[in-house]
Amino acid sequence: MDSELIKQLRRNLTLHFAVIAWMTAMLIATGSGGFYLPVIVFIFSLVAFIFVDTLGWFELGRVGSYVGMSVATLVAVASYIYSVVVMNSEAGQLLAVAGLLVYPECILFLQRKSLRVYEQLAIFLLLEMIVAALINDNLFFGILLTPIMLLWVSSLFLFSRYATLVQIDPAIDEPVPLFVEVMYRRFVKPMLREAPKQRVVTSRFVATSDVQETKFARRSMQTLPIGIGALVFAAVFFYLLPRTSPGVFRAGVGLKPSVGIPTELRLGLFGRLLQNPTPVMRVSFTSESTGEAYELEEPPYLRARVFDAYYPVIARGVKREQPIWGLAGSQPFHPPLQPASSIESFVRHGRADRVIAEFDIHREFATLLYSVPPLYSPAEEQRIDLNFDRFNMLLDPVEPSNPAIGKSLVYSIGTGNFAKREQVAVVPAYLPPSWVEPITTMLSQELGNFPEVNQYRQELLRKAKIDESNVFEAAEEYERHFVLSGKFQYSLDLRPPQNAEMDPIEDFILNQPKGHCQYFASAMVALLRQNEIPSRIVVGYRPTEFNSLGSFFPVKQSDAHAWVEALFSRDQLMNTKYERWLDARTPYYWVRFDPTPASGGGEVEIVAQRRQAIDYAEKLWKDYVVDAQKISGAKNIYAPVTKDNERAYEGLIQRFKNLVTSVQQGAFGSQRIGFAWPLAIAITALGVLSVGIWQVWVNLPRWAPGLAHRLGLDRRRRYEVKQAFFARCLSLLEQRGLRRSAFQTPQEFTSAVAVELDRAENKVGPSLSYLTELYYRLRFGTERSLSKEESQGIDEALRQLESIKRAAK
Amino acid sequence: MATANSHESSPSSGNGSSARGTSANGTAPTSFTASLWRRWLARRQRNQVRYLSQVKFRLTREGVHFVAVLLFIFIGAVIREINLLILLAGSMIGLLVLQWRFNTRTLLKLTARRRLPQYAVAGKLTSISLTLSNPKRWLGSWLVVVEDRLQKQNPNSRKLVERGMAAIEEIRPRGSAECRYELEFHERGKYQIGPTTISTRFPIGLGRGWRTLDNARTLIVRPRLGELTPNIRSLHQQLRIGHAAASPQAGTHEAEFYGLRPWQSGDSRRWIHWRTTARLGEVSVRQFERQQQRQITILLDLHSPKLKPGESCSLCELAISFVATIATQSAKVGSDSLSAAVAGDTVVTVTNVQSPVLVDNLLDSLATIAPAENPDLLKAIRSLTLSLVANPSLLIISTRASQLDSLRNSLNDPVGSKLLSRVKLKWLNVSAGQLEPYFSWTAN
Repeated sequence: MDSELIKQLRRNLTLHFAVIAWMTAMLIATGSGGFYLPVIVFIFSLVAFIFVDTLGWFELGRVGSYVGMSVATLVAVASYIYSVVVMNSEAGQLLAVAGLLVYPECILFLQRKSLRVYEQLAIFLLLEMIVAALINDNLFFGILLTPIMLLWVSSLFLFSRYATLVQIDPAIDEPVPLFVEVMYRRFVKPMLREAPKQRVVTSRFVATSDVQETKFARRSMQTLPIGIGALVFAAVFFYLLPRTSPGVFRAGVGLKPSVGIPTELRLGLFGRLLQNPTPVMRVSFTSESTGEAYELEEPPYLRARVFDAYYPVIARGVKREQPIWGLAGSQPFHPPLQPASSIESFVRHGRADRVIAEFDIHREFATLLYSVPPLYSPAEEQRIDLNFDRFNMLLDPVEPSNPAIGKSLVYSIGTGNFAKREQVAVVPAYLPPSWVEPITTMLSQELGNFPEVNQYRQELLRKAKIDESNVFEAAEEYERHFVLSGKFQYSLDLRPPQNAEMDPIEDFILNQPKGHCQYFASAMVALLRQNEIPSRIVVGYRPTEFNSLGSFFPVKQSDAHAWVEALFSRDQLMNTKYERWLDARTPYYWVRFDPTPASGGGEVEIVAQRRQAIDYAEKLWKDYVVDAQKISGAKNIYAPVTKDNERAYEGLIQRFKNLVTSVQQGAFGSQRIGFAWPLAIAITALGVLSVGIWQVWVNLPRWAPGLAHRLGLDRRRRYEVKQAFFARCLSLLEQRGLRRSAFQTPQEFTSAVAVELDRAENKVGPSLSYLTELYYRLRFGTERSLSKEESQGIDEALRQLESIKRAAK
Repeated sequence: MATANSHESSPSSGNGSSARGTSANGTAPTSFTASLWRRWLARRQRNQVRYLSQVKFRLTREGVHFVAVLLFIFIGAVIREINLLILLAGSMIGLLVLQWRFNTRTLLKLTARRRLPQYAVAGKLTSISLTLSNPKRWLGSWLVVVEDRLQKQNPNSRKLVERGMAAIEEIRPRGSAECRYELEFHERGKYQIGPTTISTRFPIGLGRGWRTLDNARTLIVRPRLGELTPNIRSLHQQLRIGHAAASPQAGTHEAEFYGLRPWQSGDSRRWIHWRTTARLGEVSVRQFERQQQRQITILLDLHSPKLKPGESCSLCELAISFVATIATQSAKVGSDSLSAAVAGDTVVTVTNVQSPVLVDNLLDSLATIAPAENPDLLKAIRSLTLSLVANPSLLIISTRASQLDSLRNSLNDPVGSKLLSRVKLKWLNVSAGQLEPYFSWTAN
């Protein structure tokens, strides 16, 4: 064989594996953030490609390979132990596993290439793909999957060629011997003293260059259809694979859960707050009645936490660095979400729309659940249990013992909070009679001793000519004042208080009217409570960007928002704009106020998301591939299977375990595991009978051709005559009992028939010969059409044949 | 004229011939059971051929590793419900399925035609070419490996590890392609070449599809030839061979008409005897007898202790090569007449070897004969009786010491004893190195 061509083939193969190794390591790196693995692979493979495979300056020999492999394994194992014992990091463990694959790869690259080395490289790279899939489940993986697959196919093409050449001429491949082989040659073989075998024949492969060459263009042409074919197969396989259990929200790998919204709000911090663009979730709204996207006119309020207790710097003898907002009014009983009928009255009175809100929360934020009250449980089964805090109108957070480690947490809730594409500000309050007194007292408690603020408030009402006892109008006036007066400005650049002795809220209202939503909400609550209106702060998200491709709101950390809820009795809301929502059976209502002005002034509007195509693609990747909840939900084609076979694997395993236990206990032969003899005999008999019938079916044409023909079982294919007139002729003759034998040509047949019919005084010989002649001409001749006269002649001849038939009858 | 006595039956060249022969030998069925039995045999034979011609598929070692990783991924994906791994497993299964389909489809309907030389000579390269045709309309075949199994049939029947292998890059649809391999036989004998296995790992080498074609053929590998040293003339002198009376029928021309025989490959068209050809309906050629200068009568005694399977007797091989070289030389000279009897596991006698065709017959016999512990020398001498009458000198080439006394003692009949007493005998013991002055191996 041409050693240069073989060398070129090896070089090509090494380059392919090197590129696959880089790309796979890049997948790991982009998932984990550690870029040292691709750098190591890149350096080693490049050095190997240039100095080992191209220039042939050096290579790792037997000892070097063993030592290198041992060191690589030791390093990887040590880093794994370090990540388990010292760091206790799951991501670190996965990286160590990746290292366990990458370091030996580097050693393999430095070895002299042989079939065995390429095999090992391929296996390591495949395993590395698994680690990459575990670490990196972003869209990037999907984007890179196609080129990686094509590269794999291309390299397997080369590998196949190389293996074929090695099969023909093993001399071209000299692998580094295995340790066992070395030992055998060194110790066992001399002991055996085998005589060298004499060869009877020496075979020599006469190579042609095209077998050894690797033509790039041809390989590419062959790689593309096969690679794409494999990907198409993968897609079909992926979506047709029955999933017998619904998508379970379970722990994944990698990132630590992050608390998107803190459990307490701190005021009094100063400095410039940076906008955090980290994506938190995607929220979509669908009309329950139409099933279509429910488009909103204004950004929605997504509720996450409630703060009802304010703790100044010095409160109850405790001194803090900053005043904080906390939650004091949580209720211990949180029942599951109620069905849609629970909000029927509210929806009917206000003519609200029933909307399904789907929250798709990224895994690192998936400890906190969001709500848009009033809520009800949708018909669709949820991945997690949704328990509802009816007083605070919050969904319970996910249990810390069951952290979110999948790609994302998806759940849906039904809400009656929307009407005419707007979010309604009033919500019925869950307040049993026994709670009214303590709750209203607690929520009306002043934030502190702010006499100047009280004067400011009274002055405000006096100017607006609103009586303090008209609580709803007063509350609306406070909100208007913050939003529209122009005195207050939204700012993330918080400056130190002018008066350090004052509470930050007091300072905000009186001295320095600049701040973010938390200040505005706190200030309004301060005013409301001075007016003895029970109120609290609600914190959540208010996304302003909308992805029109996917009809969802992408929610970022920077969309976090705080607003105010005030509690009013039904009487207080009579003759207000919320009157139509009031129900005779509900005595109290929460009304939402948002005192924060827009950062640039004016109204807060929904804007189109930037680079929404990428985000939408990522959502599709997640929905249909990574989490595949869209193909494992109740609406997919496997829903019946899913419904009946939930926990099918577990059931199967349990049954198997039971069987093993029974066998171990010697239960065979006992009544517990009996052998159904009648059933076994019936099945066996049925099997034998089936085989017998099948054999008769197959062999009958040979055993009894006549019978088989009568039964229609003969498999002899009849010659099909495509010329309709001659087929008609044959059919007429067959009806007369004259059938053409297999050995007869049409000419012979019609001649014989003519003779036979002549004997019976049916003079059809000329007609038959005319038809046969025309048939031959059309069937085998060059002229394939009939003249008008010929057509008439055919009709006449066929009529003659039909008359014979009638005569015969 | 010469008669070549072949003592071996021609083995069946293909797997299907023996059974077909059984059913097609024209004998009427003696009973219903016999008829059933024949039909069963024929069916079994047909099934075997069908089975061999089916395209079979097996994972290669790389493919097994690939499947192991695939199972690991798939099981992990199912247990942990990791969809990306399911996707990965899906693409791997896709590759496997494509491999299987390609392997099985591309080899379908391929036919191979092998071109074998008429004979081969031990120690010399023999080129064997194969032409593969692809009658398929759309699908080509790529990277097809053609593999001929080799089996030594005679002497020392055994399957060989070595195989004749060649590869073809591409066979286009409705096209054909040729490949070639070379074999160097180190031992004489009758070899079975084939059946041919065509296989491919195309496209990605995870599996290998193969098909075995029913095209086994035999090839005679003649003994290795050496060189006769100039001392051979003295041997001729000692035997006083080649006197003029040895060919009393010799004509005035260089070659005289002797008789007629059926046409054989290599015969000149000028020798065809048209009248006889027309009468018999098959081509017959005239045979000529050349004017003889010398007559050589040789008895080759291939004695060997019992050999283990696979072992060969080097002394016997030397003796056989010596006789083969003498025969080849005599054919070159053209005017010599050689009669030879070979006593091994059978006795083969070829007398009055003059034409290349008869030399070929002798060389073919020498190629396949095997040594024996007790070769039947008496039978061999008796088969040379006519030659010894014409030329009463006999050169015995043996792998053992002279057995003349025991030979004489064992000849009971008076004709035999008389003949042996008047024949001048020369016993060359190969084991004693008595062949060395007359023969040497050709340097390759």
